[in-house]
Amino acid sequence: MNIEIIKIVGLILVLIELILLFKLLSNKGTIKARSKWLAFFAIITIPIITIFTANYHVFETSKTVQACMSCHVMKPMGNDMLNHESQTLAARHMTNNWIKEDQCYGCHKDYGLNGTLKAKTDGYRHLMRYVTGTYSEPIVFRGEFDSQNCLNCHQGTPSFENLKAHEPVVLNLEKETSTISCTNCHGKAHPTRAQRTPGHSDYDQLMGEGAEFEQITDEDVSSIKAWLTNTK
Amino acid sequence: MKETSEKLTRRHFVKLSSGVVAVSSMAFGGWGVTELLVDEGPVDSWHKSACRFCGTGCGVMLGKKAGKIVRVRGDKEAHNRGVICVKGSMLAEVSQLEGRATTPKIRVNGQLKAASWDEAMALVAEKFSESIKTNGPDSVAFYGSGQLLTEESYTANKLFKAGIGTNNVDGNPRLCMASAAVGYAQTFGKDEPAGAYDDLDHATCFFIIGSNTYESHPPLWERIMIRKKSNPNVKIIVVDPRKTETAQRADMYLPVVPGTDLMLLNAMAQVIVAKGLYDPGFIEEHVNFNDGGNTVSWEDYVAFLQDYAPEKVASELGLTPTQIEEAAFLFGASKATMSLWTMGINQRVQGVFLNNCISSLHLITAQICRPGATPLSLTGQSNACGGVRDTGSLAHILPGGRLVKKPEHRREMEKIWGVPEGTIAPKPGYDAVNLFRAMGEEKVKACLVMCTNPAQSLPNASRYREAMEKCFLVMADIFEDTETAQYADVILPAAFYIEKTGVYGQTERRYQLIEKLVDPPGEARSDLDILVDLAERLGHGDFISSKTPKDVWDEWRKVSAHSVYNFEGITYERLEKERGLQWPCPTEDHPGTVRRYSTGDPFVQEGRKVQFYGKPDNKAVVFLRPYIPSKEKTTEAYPLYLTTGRVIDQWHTGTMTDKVSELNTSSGRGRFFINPQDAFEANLNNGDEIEVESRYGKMVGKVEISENESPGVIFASFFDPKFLVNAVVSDQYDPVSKEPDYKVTAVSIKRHQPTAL
Repeated sequence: MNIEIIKIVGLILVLIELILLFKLLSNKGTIKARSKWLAFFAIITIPIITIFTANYHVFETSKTVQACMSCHVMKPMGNDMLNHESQTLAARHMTNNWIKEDQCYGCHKDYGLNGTLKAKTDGYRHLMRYVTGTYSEPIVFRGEFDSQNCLNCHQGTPSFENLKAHEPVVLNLEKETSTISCTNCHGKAHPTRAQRTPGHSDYDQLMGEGAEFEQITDEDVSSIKAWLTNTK
Repeated sequence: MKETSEKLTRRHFVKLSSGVVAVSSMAFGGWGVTELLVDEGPVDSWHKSACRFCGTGCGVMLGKKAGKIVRVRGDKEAHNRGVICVKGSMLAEVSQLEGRATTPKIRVNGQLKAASWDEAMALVAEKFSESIKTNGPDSVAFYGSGQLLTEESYTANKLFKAGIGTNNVDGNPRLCMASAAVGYAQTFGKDEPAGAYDDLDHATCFFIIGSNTYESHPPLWERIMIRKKSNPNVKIIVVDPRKTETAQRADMYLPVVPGTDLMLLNAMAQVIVAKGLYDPGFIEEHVNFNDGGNTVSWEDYVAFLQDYAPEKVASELGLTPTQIEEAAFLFGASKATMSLWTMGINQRVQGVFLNNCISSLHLITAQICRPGATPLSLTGQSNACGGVRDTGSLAHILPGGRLVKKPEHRREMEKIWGVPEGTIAPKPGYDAVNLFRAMGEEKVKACLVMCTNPAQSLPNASRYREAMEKCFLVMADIFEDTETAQYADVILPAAFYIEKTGVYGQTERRYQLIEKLVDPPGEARSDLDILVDLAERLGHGDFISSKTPKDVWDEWRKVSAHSVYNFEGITYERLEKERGLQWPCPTEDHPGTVRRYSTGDPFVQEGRKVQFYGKPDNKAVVFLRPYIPSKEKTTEAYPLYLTTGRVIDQWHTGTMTDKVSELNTSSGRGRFFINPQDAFEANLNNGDEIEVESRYGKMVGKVEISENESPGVIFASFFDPKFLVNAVVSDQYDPVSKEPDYKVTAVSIKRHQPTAL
């Protein structure tokens, strides 16, 4: 569902709730039995719908690149990704329009419902760490990046499947105790920890306002699809 | 009113407090739960190290859990920027391989029997002492490896050359990069390159000759590709008889006939001169010309090149004159040209000449000593540069670029090592091929082989396997199932590289520290411990006074200060913190030297942009090197060329990589790759067995038909012990570098007819 519509629905619900609460308070003690449905809506139904809508809104908006970059410790990742000159994996994916939207979330959310839960759980942990100041720069990725996130897009494409050099990688990934990572051969995804450490010569630039976020259009997407399906 | 208000306030307060507590509890409780739920990953601690395999020397991060290495990731802070290859990605698996040698073994009545360290080392010392006493010091030898740690190669070299008194110190780097080392030394006065990997980010033209970079040095290829993608005007020229994975991705592919490419280099020089693409100012200031004996003039050089005009040599090269002209134009006219080469150039009977000629192209065009403009020979092993070339652990050299044959160099080292004048023998020792020949002739009676597998890696293998049988062979290795183990009289279980501490030095003069992260299995010991033990038993315990890695390193870096290799400033403490340092690096506050012989190099005089200080007159040498056809020219009897090399999934003789299931499965077994035309003529199908015969031997192997092979050329890799391709490979070698020619062997093939039972 379009996030803008959810935002408008949420605001309307809040407005209705405020009107209802005002009515209830101003008529306190004089509410007639036939008006009790109004109280039911004001105190139970609308708040529940509002909370649900707000949560949904937060869940959706927290997927965006802007949401990730709203914490300053994430700025180096975002700014680097938006820098067309950068050669990091994230920047190359962005520059070449390989992911349409929610680029951070697109690579960092693992597969399926479990992946969503994991991403949201970790997102909440990030938020709490951030607001309580219980972190230090440079921030460090916790756990292990799942190569399946790369395969979600690349598996099945000619450039992945036809490459003989991928054979041992696939064999390793199929193992129960897979140890390999796509980033081993394809390089760093983001600026290094050293670059993200205050005092490094790249730090100020990475923490700057950075480039404007360019929304990828449907036209871009169709041109990428055409390129990907062209197996020449 | 007041009373009511107070009651409301208290109630409100309680309500508000409860609300705040409830919300906070939910928020903080939820946070606590997330901290418990979010996975910490499979690693307890990460440790900086370098890769065990090729000479790219990639920085790696090794993840450790419960005393084992469980993960490998590219080190993003290192020169390779986090990129490693599939072999490096399997280091965790390699570190945990089963079947490690865990106890010394002695051969008794043809059978290897377990022994104590004391028994094994006493026997080794006895045999070495006896041979030295009876037949002189030159009857014993050390055959090392570009995979030993620097401290180990340095100690072996010192023990044998200045302790025992023999220059019989050689090793597998003779098989892979002696031609590059001699080539640099002849052209620039000192071994080791001027350039660095940083040049890959600035080059606008890559001239790749005799290197399948994609398969043999994948992280460097990835860097070239990133350079190319960020600047589509970057051109890649690949010269190779095979249409390798590298050649397939080139802008310009020159499929030369095996063994002829020296003509191409001279032809390119001829075009560069004829089209005015050379730099007279640079030549005047920084270059001399030499015909191999005497200094000659520019005019002599120009006249020499006339025989190599494209139209004269193109046909024999298998190219067209236009292709040569185009390659020469790109080389000379590009803003910054970088040449990369490896075994296709080094493992050749004209290996040194080829190295000279590549450098010459850079010198006449001034494509050197600028970002992106440089010749850079890629290295095959993790520590051939730092451990062997720099420490002088080959039969003809001494530490810091000194030569055995030069009396002043021997005197210098004798003084530094504190041994009497005349201790170091004036005659160079046996190079690899001749060392094993000397074993066959029973001139070398005892040899310590460390960290290498000559029974599989030497050319003309059958001949040298027989030779090994005649020698008292001591082998130190991490495995006891190698081909060489079959010929060993004593097997000493050695530690894997991260089971000991020491320094690796890779292609671009970068030294990196390998720290001990896990204990060796069973009774295995570091090679340094073995050498120190041997020194003590041979009565050189006082001379080999540095007995720990750090002590040896401190000794060696102080020794280096007496040469232009000076890296006294590269201490263990710095290496623990930094991602390797490039020498020269004379002081502890020196940042290291990215580009040698140019501004920033501490040995270049202030105000000079370029100074080839390896030569007394500060001028590099362009040699007039004629093409001499190989003895391995194809004939009616041997109508095809056999060339050997690596594949992406395997490394060297496969003692490590072939034990990793993913790599083993992916590479498949050793086989001959053959062009469809040749397969058609020989009536072969995929999987058929053929008999391949050369002047050196014959063998049987399966074929795979591949359009990537040129007609007239068959290819095989050498990793599979059950497919001993080296049994048919020529042991012709370069007369100067003594490096064997693995790349050009004339062979015949025929369908194999199994003998009926």
